[in-house]
Amino acid sequence: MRPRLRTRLLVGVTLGLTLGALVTLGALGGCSETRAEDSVDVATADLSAFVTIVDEGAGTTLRVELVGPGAHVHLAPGERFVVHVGASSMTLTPSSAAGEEDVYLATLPDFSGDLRLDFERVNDHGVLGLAMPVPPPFTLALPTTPISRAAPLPLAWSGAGSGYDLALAVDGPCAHLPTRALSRDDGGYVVQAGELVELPDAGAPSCTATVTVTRSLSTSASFGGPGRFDVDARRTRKGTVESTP
Amino acid sequence: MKLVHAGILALAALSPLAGCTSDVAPPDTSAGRATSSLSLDVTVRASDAYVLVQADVRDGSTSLQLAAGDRLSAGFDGLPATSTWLQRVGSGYAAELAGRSDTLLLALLRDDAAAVSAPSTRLTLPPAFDVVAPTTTVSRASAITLTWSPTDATREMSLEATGACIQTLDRTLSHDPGTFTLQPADLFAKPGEQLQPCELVLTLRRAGGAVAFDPALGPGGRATLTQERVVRIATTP
Repeated sequence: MRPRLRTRLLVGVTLGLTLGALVTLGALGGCSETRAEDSVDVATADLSAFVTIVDEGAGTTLRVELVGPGAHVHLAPGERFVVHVGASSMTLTPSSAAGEEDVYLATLPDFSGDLRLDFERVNDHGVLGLAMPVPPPFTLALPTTPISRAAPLPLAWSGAGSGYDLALAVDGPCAHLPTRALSRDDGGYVVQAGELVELPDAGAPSCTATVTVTRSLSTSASFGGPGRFDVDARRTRKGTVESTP
Repeated sequence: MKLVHAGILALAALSPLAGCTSDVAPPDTSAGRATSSLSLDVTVRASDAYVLVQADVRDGSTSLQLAAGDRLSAGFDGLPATSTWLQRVGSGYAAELAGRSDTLLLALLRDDAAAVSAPSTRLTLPPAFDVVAPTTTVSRASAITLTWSPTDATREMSLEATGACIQTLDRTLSHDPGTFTLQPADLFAKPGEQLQPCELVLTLRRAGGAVAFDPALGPGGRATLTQERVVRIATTP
């Protein structure tokens, strides 16, 4: 069955109305700007998908938002997203969070390499095999003994790489380093002596600080037509260090 | 043709009368103002070879041009021969002193018999330091280490790295360890410059010091005192 394309018909009808009627209908029809549309009413060519992939070291969450002309789109029965992880595949399920009923989720096991997404449709042509590049997973190694802020803080993580963005941050009341982008991934970095600062309300001179290293990659492709397929993938690893003066 | 020129000249001559410059207020000057109402906003930047002194004379928040008979001079403390008049630069005054010294004297001298001079504003710079950097060409794919001495753990240090092939990098060291290593991951290439050799200009700054304004001056004076060292390093990708 072809989509009924209610949105397009509404546009055609409203073009023939007077300005006053247009304003009136606009006020009534304006609800469609904030209320999700049903995918049965929207052609694939009018859709975009926005994907976030977040791995914080305990499984990966895949989140997909489907957006039509001016509104989120809710999947009609028979239509679904399927993610392929290596040789296995999973169907995404609607989020149960309030206000996120039109968001589709999957929790993925540990993996490396890229993901692929299928958008299977019964009301229009589907879009299969969409590539979702993801930075490689890694583990973070930090000093296990207290380390002075007057000394360098060596950070190491598994595997160097390229083709993605890399950033690190240190967050603790007595040892703070704002998020710092790194131009290349050599599998390690040294925060120089004197670079960690005590925050004004640090309190004790020694503290536990959280080190965060993030590999991220954003890509934008076509969603099988003029629509966008934006993917933001991020792998974050955190650890703590004991910082002393 | 002559008529055209005459017309343009006439218009040019008339334009001030017509009010074209009426929106440019004459500068406020020090004339007739008591020294006790004046303050100095001073910036001193010392390198290993010269000291740049910049001063702004103020009355409250108003920046003043020195009236005839009012002058600023700066010199190394205890070395009167180094004293130099500050010249008008932009909206303030500046002079460059050749050499190195830890302490400067800044004088506001007023010829008007009714005015009081302020000859003894003493500026103590943060401790000078010397930098050791690579003297041969180095790869930006390798770590580049700078060291300097003497260190001063009580003061902040800052580092700026610039170059035709890299985006400007700023780092601040909350206390002074006497060393900094520029790592390959610190450097972001400018577009198209990734594979180019270029010179890195590394500027190390130590701020701090102390100022004792001449007691004849009014309150509100400020001083920013910096030791600055610049090293240039030839690099390859």
